[in-house]
Amino acid sequence: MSNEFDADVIVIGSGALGSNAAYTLAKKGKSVIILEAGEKIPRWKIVENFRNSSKKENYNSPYPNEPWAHHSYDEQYIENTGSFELRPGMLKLVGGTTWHWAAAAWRYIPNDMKLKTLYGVGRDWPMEYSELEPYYLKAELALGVCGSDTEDQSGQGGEAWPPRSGKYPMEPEGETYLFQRLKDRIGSAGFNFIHEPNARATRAYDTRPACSGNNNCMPVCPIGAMYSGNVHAQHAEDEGAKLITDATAYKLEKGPNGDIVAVHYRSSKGDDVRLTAKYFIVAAHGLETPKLLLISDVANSSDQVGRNLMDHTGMGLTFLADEEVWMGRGAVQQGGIFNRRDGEFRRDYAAVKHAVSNGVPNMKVARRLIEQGVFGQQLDERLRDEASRWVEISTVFEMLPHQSNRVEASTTRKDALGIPMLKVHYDVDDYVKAAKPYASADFARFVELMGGTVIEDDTGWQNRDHLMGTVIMGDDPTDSVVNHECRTWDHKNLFLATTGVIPASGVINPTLTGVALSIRAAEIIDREI
Amino acid sequence: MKFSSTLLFAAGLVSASVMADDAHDLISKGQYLATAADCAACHNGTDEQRSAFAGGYTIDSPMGKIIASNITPSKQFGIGNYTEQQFADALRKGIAADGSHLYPAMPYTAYQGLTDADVKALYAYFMQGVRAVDKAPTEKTELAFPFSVRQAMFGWNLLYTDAKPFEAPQGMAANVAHGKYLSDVLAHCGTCHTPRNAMMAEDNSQYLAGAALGGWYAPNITSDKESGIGNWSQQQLEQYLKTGSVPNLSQAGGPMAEAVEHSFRFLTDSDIRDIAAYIKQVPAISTATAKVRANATPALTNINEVITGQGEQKTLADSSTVDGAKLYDNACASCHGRNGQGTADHFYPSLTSNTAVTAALPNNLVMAISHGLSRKGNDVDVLMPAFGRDMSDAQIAAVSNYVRLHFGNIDDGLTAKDVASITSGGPAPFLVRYINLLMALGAIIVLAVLFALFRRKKH
Amino acid sequence: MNKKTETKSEAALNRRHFLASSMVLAGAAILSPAIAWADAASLTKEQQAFSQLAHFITGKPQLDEVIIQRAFDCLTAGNKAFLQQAETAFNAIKQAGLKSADDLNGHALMDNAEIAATLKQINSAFYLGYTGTPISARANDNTQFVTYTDALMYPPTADATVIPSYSRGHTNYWVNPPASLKK
Repeated sequence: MSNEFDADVIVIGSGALGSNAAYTLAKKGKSVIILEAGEKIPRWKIVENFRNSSKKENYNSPYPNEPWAHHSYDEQYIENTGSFELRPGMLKLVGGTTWHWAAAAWRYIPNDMKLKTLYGVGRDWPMEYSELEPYYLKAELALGVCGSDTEDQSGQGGEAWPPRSGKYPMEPEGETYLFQRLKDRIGSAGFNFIHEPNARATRAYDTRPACSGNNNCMPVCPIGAMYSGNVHAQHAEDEGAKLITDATAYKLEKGPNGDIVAVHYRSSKGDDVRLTAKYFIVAAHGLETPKLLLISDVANSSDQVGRNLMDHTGMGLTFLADEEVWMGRGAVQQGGIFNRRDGEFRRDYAAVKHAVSNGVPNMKVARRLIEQGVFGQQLDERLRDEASRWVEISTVFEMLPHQSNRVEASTTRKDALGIPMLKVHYDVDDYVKAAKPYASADFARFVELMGGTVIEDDTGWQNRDHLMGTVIMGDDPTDSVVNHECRTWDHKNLFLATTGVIPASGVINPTLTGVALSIRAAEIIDREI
Repeated sequence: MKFSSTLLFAAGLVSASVMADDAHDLISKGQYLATAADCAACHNGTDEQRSAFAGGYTIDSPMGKIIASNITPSKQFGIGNYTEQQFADALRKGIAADGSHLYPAMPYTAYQGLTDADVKALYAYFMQGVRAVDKAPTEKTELAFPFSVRQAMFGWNLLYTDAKPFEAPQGMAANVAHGKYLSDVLAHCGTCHTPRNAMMAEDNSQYLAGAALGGWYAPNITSDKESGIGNWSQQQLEQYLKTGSVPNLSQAGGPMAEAVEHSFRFLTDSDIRDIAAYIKQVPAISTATAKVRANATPALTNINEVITGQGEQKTLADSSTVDGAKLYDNACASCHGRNGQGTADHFYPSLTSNTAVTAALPNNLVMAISHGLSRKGNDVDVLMPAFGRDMSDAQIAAVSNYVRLHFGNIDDGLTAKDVASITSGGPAPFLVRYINLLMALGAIIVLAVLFALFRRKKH
Repeated sequence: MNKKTETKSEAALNRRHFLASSMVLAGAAILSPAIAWADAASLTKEQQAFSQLAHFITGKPQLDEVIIQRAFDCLTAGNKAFLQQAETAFNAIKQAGLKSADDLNGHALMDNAEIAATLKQINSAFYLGYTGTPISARANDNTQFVTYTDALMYPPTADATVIPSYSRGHTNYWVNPPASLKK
């Protein structure tokens, strides 16, 4: 490293994406500083916080919500102005929000990346699947993904798809009894059940034990079988990266030639620090990343920063099957039904994914029965009966990028550091609404096939915490923020490691894609330094 | 030595196709012996492929770091130029082909008992059955003076090696004698389980009576009922060696986990049976046991006094507690159960009947908490995460004290300092601890005098 | 020490059963301070009464004292009228001559919205392990913690599913249905 700079590369954000980028660079011998707004907290402490929580279903509740590092459920953090209240569950601590994900580690299929070309809607990716594929494999190795090498993940019941240059690092976990029963009865009617590749170890992997079904992936895996970003934050540190916590970046400083020359951060103690580097990676998730660019007045010559916000806005189904299926054994989800992942219909309405939930349902079951006025022995008996037959489907819809769905820096709200919080405008568009009847028809069919009794089949639109589009990737500097390398068009030494770069959402959880892009960006930077 | 290709095949070591002729049989036999002798434990490669026998593995010896050498048949970097006699001398006498002395991290004091037939088989395997790796380990052994003087080993060797082939004691049943050969020579149990004297040689008066081992403690495995394994059944010993675990009794961690993973689990049932039969009749040596309190085991802290609800927001990031009950529930109970009962299927062992908890010393418990535990088995890979990064020494002390007190009725009163001492490898042995003093007095001379004295005593 | 109010001795257990049943059977005032409760000498009248009401509503002869205390504190702290409501509910149960929690099922007494709400609140505190109403995706709501591992919603399925975050067995145990389903 050069003495003129504080580091070769500064990574802003220590989540799964930032940490993987930092680790990739540190391992190559580059000097790396990681800035993290929150603190480093050991897993056992988060487990303690969870067990002590009065709101077990609130996945942010075990995590700190400091005045200088809010988690996203803070009442003031996001000001919503649209018809939909966007409140993704984002965290600020070392390791980021992958502390509470369910570890879904899907790849996009090639068609997902050519939406405009194939179906005339949305945007294309500025690269082919084949270009990303090697990095998918690297990301799967980093995250320790288990998955099926034989299934058609496009949901069409064909050959193994998408193409892979190597096997999944680990074999899939055993199929839950729940999944077996649904697959048997619903699957036989032509619904294609697909195992969800996931970053839970099915045997000892890296420093992680095998999952043994403690059923608490969200809000915290108590044993660390599930991958979370802290793994690579630690690996990066072990490779020499310097991690600075309680360090909220609030300004990227432009130099005379248009490059970024420094980042400024502030701590809760009021310190303001300016750090210089040759390259900068902003990895502060799909809302904070565009906000930092906006308040720094960088990377926005296209006026696309913060726009095109996409979540996989969803809906849910809950019903009682006519047989015991025993949700809650194993991890919290295992896969789903993918028939509507791809097809010509995408010209007209959104792709749909139905995921089978597998969390221990007792709280929902008991709460409902208590509310119905059930007591005593009868309560215990009905609780057991309904818990054994409870089925939940969590459905997501493909979103299209729209200029008007956007995140901005709040003009009225600031955090304790005096840094603006977020303003979001989000509406669910007609493309999604047009798909809803199909999803609802599927719901009805699932219930029918399982001899079921509906508990709830019209939940209204729900958050799914998959932030995309806000620093959109493209091949035209006038309508996108970054190029295919995740490099900002405006500043050649500024890269963005966030799912916010994703220009076409598909229906799959975007984290693996984000990690793949981040590793790729880090390798590009490594070659240039 | 009993050797059966059928059993070998069953153990999955060799494929049926290579069993055709004698040469292949010899190589296969050598491979099996190399597994029984666990050569790969030290001589494995450190590269990503972990190339077999390429060396590079670091052995933390009390004298400093010793880097295992390349023992593939590479002529330039390995032992490809060794004659069978040179190979035998290295194994039995600790002398390399160039005449230099090996450090006794190489257990030649055990291997000196190898039969000629077994040396022959091992030689055949290492010359013909191992892929040559043409590169040297990247790191080099670097010991502090005077240990760096390999010639010093000469005096040591005079004292502690006799290079006599193994002989079964008179009257010992054939299977037990075979077990002794396997235990003493190939598996070199004593290397860890027999304590070392002031000169760091095995103290045969305390044969297999337990010894400290880089923070871990290799327990007393004599037939003493209190302090040894006298209460273990033959079947339990066999299961332990084969799988590394006997539910509600014990499980292998640290170096023993490696021995099971790399060696014992591949041995034939017959060999395991003989080892167990031999170990079961090793004369009892009574050593210290844990001091169990006179009073009844204190009841577990009520979980509702542990899980009391979230406090102020700022407590969510405060991980400073040294309350053993809290630490136990937060870090341990997810697997080992709120009452230390483990899981019904023993996938997660119980802590309420577990020698790791009730051992004479808390070392292995502390090491397991701090460093975690990893053991590949035939059916299952065991991994306990390491908590050394997520807990301070004081926290490890607190949780260890809680576990020992509530599941073993043992009150250690461990402090952070004790934990630091254990996890950094335990108290340094005599020779290293007094090395500065020795140096001051003219170390080499003193060593020579010491050698002479010890030698006379021995005669 | 794991203090279950009724597990200190066989005698206490029997006595508790006796008290519970005799109070209800005879329509005796289980809220009456006249009933001596040796184990709970330090509790206030209201706490004693609440404890008895909690045992009745949940239908559980054994409840941890710590949890009862916490539920009491949470419910009273969150609602000034709670004690009055609880007393009303109890008197209603007494007058209706109910013998067990199961008698509440479908009983006309539950038509009284205030009484029903109070009974559900108490039942909920012990079954779900919290009081108040969660608001999703917010940092703050009025929920308060009562218990986790002793929440009564878990024992009915304890042979099949875990209390989340605690283990049950080996990787992939879940490929089989629970033992109760096996033929």
